[in-house]
Amino acid sequence: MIANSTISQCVKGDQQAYSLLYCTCAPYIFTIIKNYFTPEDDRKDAMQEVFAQIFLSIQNFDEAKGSFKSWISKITVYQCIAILRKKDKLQISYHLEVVEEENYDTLESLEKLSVSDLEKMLVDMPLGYKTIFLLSVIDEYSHKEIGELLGISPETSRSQLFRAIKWIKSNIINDINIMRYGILQ
Amino acid sequence: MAYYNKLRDNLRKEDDLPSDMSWEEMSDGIFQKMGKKEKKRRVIFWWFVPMLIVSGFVGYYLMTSTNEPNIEIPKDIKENMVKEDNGQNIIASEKALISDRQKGDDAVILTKVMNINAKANQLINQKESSNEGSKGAKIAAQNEHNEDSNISESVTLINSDLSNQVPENTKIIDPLINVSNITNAKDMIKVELITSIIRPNIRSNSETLLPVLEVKSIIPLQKDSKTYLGSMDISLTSGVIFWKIGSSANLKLNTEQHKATISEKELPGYHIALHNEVRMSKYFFLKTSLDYQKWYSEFYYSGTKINSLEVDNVIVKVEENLLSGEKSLIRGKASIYETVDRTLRHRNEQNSVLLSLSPGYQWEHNKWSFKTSAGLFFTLSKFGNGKTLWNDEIVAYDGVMPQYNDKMQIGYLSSLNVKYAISNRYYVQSMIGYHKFISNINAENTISKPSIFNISLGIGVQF
Repeated sequence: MIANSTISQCVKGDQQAYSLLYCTCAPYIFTIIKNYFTPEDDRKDAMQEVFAQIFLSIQNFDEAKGSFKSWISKITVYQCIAILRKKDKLQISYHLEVVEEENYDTLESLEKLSVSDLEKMLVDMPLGYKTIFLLSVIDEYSHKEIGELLGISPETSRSQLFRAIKWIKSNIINDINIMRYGILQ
Repeated sequence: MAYYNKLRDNLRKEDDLPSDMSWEEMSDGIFQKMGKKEKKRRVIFWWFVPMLIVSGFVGYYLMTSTNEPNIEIPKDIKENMVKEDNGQNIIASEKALISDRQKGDDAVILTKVMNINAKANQLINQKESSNEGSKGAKIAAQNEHNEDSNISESVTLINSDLSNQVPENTKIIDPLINVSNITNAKDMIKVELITSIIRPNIRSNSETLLPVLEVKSIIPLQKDSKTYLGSMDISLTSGVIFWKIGSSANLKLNTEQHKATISEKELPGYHIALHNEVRMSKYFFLKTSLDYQKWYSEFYYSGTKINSLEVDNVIVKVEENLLSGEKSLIRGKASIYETVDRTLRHRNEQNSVLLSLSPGYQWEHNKWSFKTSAGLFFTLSKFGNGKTLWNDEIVAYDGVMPQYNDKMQIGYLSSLNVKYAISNRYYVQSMIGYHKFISNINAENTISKPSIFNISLGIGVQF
């Protein structure tokens, strides 16, 4: 994704290397950020936060521990969560409902939806649900990791994911979708 | 899983960046944020280092100290007892006292201290009325004392057998403790004598050197928590403050009618605080502070606004009679739009009166005290004057800023201070403190939770 020499130059604070790294990685980072933030200003602010963090901590990047892409992806997700928490936007319901495991909605139950419809649903999804959904399904964090990241228990994370699925299903029920998919069960 | 892989691929599909996210557009913001993050790291570091030093001192003290507080007796008191008993009675008494100390019988020791003091007073009175004694006796006493003068370590003396006979050339000034003071004193004291110190006789007729039994430092009676309970320090500090307004300091408006950049840059201010510390035990105290703070900021506005104005009695319509060709003018109300470009800088000021309550920990070493405390504060009052943006207009305010809500604002604070006793009662101190609002000070939904850092100097008195 990016040459080691560019990383070395970034460690030294070379502005041209910063520029090169930005131009190379920004499109990828933007794909992550745009899922967490909808307003343009928020996306721009998040991009700046993420790159500031990347430039400041690039000396900590260790190739032996993983690829540069996964490293910046992790930083991006962490920064997005930090911004959301800082702005108090991440309102996750901490109520732990006692739900019988067999009643949990599963991810497979959404597969009747078209991918593009699900993408559209994500835009309107409440931020708390969306964050967990993205972290779990798209960024593939475990519930334990999500719990640590958001300061909640793994059980709460799991419960929030199933609420998110429930939300998608309840919001997909309109006349057109009933005709297209039937009522999702 | 293929379904979610596809979803993932779709969501991660790289598109072209929006045009306003080019490196040229973003680099300034990125570097600005890097500066802020570095500054934050430095602040954490500069808090961490003093805390580490203080913890080190406290840890060292706890590791090395005994339970006996060691309070320095002022120098003028130290040179007060002169004896000529060859050290015999002294040493015997010292041994008895050391034995008492080892047994930990503080009550016995205190009684002895009080006895000594009473006797010392007696001696002074007697001495003042006595004549000078024979030189021979002095010399003999001196010679004998010299033999013992190689005792170099300080020893503890409570001389319960202090002679009623006042030797010649001996001057005892009431030195140590007044009996009545002892009973009231918060610090119980013992007397430590260094038997080896020999000084020229303080009397003018002395031809020889006489031993000066120097009262050294001692006050080894054990204090319990009750001894400290209720003692109080009152101090006044003043200094400079630096503050950060929070993330609402910059605002960009970009509506059809109003495009503007608004910012509020923090400037240093000052504060004056009155502190009252009540000791709960040897190490712990409860501090109440009333803190008046004055913050300054530079309000900056630069923008363009389209104002809509209602005007009356203007021609709004022209009607033309097509047959006669006559024109009639219809007058009425109409809206006109004016575009106003404006750039403004103004120095705002904000005053706050805070009441805080914070428990703390202190450590004393000789005349120095090191204290750390942390707690909560409440805003009792806030007022100021300046200019601000309110309801899309720049307004001047004198009193409470319109955005400020009426809720009581709370926050947390922490402080470190070092105090130096300049006398038994008075001290000077330096202090660094940090206040952080945890509730918004702003009625709008923008986040404005200022952080305030202060450095101050002050004086105090202890009771």
